[in-house]
Amino acid sequence: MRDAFKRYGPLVYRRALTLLQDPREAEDATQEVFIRAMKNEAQFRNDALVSTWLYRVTTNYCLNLMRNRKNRRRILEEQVRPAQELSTGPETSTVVMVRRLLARADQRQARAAVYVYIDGLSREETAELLDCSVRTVGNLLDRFNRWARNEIEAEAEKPQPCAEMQVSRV
Amino acid sequence: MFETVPTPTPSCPSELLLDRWHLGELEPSRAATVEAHLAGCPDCSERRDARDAGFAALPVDADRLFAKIEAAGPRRPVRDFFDRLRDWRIPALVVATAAAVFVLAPREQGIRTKGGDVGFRVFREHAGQVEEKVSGAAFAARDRLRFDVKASEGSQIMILGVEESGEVYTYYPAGLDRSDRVRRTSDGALSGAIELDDYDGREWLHLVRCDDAFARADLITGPGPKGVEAPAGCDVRAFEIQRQR
Repeated sequence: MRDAFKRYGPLVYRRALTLLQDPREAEDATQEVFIRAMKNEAQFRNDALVSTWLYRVTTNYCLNLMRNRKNRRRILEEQVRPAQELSTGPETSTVVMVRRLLARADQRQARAAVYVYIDGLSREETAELLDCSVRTVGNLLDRFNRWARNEIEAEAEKPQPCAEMQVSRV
Repeated sequence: MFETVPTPTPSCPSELLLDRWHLGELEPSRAATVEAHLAGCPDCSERRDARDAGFAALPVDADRLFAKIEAAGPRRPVRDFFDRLRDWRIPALVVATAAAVFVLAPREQGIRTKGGDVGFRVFREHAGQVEEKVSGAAFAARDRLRFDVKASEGSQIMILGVEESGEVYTYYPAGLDRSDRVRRTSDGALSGAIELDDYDGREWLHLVRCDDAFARADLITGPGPKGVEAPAGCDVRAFEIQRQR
């Protein structure tokens, strides 16, 4: 397992860091993914594409973590943090917005959205990771987009609450 | 509504594709395409160099992390229950234990005491009303849950929620990865409450009690009433909730 860790560990850690944006949480995620790999060693070793298996498991774990209530709170705090603490680049604000939405979205739609919008995977690659058809990926993304549009519009219509009020809802 | 976010240009390989190439998992023609791109793209050359450097390019102590993984890895599997039943002493022990449980087991609803002096009760606040629920009861989105735990002095506890998909949430201590002692409010219940989201399906709440502090990573989790495996000497109590939107 040490060899596997040396070979695949950076992939897992980098993947977790991309999604979680927190080195400590990325380390915890790497630990958890490799523990799962040890539990499913036969599957881990026999999978033709180990990287695909690890990519999928790491993504699912990180999305679960983002749905965790503590992290929902933290992700909401990202929005209410004073503007000068945030990078002003459009890419960063888009990623923050997408991450906030992912924390609340339907699981399967969220996975499709991560692969396509965060990772830049093709729909064919996404279909392989989700073990579904390309058409299903399209449907999942359509549903995610409709849902996200409604969420964003609903937020825009709300009066802006103070930070304390906003983080109290988990 | 969203455009693809991170890759420098649309023609750059995705992270997964680059990882597959780096691990030698691509078929030759596809690998050649990636290599041709790398030769002419400084951004992707940097991405390749980072992969070549392995953990050295990442802000993490790989040796320490691997030691943690080994320490928290799966324990030796227990012998199958039916194998153990073939041992002539076990049936006698089962009969004796069943008799003792029948006579001694408490009848309180919502508490599952399987041997140790550990109790786990779940209360629901719904539309301003608070009521104790029994395992298997239905819960709705936006219900607030509070817990009452009976455990020996100095115990370290953690309460996890495990959905049918295997997703795990830490409900006590809220969102943390380490156990905590039993902290009560003035009404006797554990401090803190959780509000259920709109997940639709079964979820198992697991109270884990140990004498010493433990980490979330010390537990092996999965769905089902016996889905949580804790270190030796610890107690686990399960409570099933049926969640509806």
